[in-house]
Amino acid sequence: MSRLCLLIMKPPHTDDDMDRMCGLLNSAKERGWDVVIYLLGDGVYCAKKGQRGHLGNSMMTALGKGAEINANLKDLLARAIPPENVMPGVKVLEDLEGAFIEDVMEKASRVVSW
Amino acid sequence: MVNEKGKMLTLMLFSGPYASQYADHMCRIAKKALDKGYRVEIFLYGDGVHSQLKGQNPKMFFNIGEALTELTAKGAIIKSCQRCSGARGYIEGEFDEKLDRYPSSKAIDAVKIYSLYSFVDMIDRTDHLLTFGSA
Repeated sequence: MSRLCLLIMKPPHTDDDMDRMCGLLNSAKERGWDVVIYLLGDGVYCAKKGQRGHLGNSMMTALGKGAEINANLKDLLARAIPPENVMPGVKVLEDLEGAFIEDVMEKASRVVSW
Repeated sequence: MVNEKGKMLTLMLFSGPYASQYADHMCRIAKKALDKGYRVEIFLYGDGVHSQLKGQNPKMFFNIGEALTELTAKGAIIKSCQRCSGARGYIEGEFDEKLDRYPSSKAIDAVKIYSLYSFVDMIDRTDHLLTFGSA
């Protein structure tokens, strides 16, 4: 099965990139692709629980579509977001960069970064 | 473990250092890829070419110049765009065949200032391309 990896390094409310991400995710899922999202740096803000609006809830939308979402632990902690304040269903990884590289180089069909 | 897997990752940096974390993320991902045995090539474009500035001395941040030098020591190939570098005052002459780069006393040795066409060659060789920041 084809696999799309998305690396997100920016917060959800800066611009409309999360809309683009959701569009890409929808297209990929319609084609039967696996989609995996990696949240790095400011991208971990996308995983914060309790956000309002469709941009803030883009990760909930992605989870609902069957995407796997991973957030970087040290970036969460640097931004005072403890793992218990992360949306349910998001995996918190200690070595996100390592997992991302393995995924991109060994499994992914396509990778897109923001 | 040095480049034993043969697969190649290309990273393109659009943003300058210390204005955002894009350069940090790129360097950390490049290091992780090299540590896992993948080949890594990096192209600096737009304000990303400021990452090649010699003598960076951030007090609190990850030093991008040193990180690029360490990546080269681990086997990464790092090039920066000739036009972007020229526009920002890095180039001091015509392409030097012997040095295999455009000359610059302002850029670290780890980075070769090259024609944008060398990026096309990178794309031709690579398994995946990742971009950091926006143009």
